[in-house]
Amino acid sequence: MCKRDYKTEDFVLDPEFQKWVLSPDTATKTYWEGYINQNPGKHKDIMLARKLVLNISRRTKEVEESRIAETWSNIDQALDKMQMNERDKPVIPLDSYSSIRRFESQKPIGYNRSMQFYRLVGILVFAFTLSFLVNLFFPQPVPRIVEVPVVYEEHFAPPGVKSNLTLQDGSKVILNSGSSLKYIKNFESHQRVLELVGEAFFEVAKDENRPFRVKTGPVTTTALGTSFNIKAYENESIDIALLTGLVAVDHESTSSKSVNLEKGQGLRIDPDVDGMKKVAFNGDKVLAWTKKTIVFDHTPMPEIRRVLENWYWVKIHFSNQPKRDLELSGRFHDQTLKNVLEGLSYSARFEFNIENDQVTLVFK
Amino acid sequence: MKIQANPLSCVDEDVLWQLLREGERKGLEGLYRLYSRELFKYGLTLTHDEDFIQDCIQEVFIDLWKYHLNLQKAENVKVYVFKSLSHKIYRESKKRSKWKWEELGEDSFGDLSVESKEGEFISVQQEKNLQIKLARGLEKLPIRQKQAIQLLYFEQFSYEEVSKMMGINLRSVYTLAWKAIASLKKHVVSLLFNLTFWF
Repeated sequence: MCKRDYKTEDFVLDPEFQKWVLSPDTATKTYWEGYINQNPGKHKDIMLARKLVLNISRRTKEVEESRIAETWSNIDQALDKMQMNERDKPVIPLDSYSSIRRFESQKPIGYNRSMQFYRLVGILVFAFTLSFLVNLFFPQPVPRIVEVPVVYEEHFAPPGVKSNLTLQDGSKVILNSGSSLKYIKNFESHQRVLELVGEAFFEVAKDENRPFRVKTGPVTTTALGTSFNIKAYENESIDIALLTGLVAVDHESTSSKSVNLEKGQGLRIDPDVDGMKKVAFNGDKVLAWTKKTIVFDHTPMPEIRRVLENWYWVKIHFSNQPKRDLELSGRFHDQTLKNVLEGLSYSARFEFNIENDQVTLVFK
Repeated sequence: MKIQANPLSCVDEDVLWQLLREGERKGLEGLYRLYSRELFKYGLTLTHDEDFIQDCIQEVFIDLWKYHLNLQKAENVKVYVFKSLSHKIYRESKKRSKWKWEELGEDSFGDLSVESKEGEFISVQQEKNLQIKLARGLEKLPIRQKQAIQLLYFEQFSYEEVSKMMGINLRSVYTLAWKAIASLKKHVVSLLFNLTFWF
């Protein structure tokens, strides 16, 4: 609302007007004097508003200190009671003897104690015999283990889409196209376990009591407040690159102890070869995908196919097999599929045809 | 238990809130010490039934404890606590149907004192009569209008904060306050009219 249309009520409710009336400073003074000059018709409203601002009152009653203290002690007692109830809950007599004892106290006093002992023995013998017979004639029911239902949260970045996730513990994840991440909702109390298929970059929120574990097939990467990238597509090597902090990597099949990675180190686990190999990596290259950039560096053709299929959500067919040792390099920032293929086709000598989501490559 | 000067009272409310969220009773106690006087004062302007306000405040703090695991990181702890009390008073007053808001304005001024905003600042000549009239007028307003004025004008919350506390949008807060001022204005106008008539 424009201040020119102000009515008395609006003046009263304007914090700037209140300030001018109650504790004027030069700025408010200049402003409102200027205002009255320009809007002489508002003079009466302003007079009335000023009177209201100065005199609006409420009846108050100072509360006595004793009441404030009394209130707190009531709250304190209620809290004690709540905690007591929580403590009392699990105490439930389970053994038969204490149950029997409970009934005993209800019997009239002066009851013959030795009689009672024989009764007790009789009851126990009867109970044991009965349970023995029941066990003998009825198949033993399989003990059912009641499991706390575990709710999994699953994220999938469809081909063509990368998703940014913030997990409940504050960790950040960028999930590459065609990758999926699965974990127990809110995590467990002693660890944070995630299962990854595909590629993701993790920025782990620090929580020393709950290690952060990423499972990729047989390989588990454990971190405590770090950032790292994992690439684990099916039938390809698993590549772990550590950007900051410290992680430990365990492999199920190798009996060797876990491998610790330090900042700037990478690890490659080949599916065919049993074992892990420390490798150097180029941080720019590893994280290029998080910045809309595709980087190929002596990359074999099948991997190029997987990257492009996920990135652009297309299906790529080879009409004839490329040479086995064909490896390509190139860097593409925010490019269309056509441009990428054109760029690659010069060095790889292939022709391509894009039809909707179907791409065909013909190697010369 | 006696409330004494306490090292916690100088601690920042966000720290206390965090302590509470972690299940530390000290956090709750600190918040109580920080806000209890203001909460009582605010509650007692809505009704003069001290026992009722005491019950409401007790329940607000017991609830804070009961649900401390679900508490969010509060952006503004004071707003949250005032909001809880407002809701509690509003709900409880509806429950006690025999209890009527209208009755409250009529009792004598007795042990109650009149507080105007002006009192907090430089002393301009006070118009006691007008102030008492306006205080009475304020008490006769519908509960929501009264709440809006109390929070905006006397408790000095911003329009945004009041809108969060009352669970209504900014526009509605302004409308409620506007209506309240419009009714209060009549008292001033009639008084002015009387004066011009006399002189």
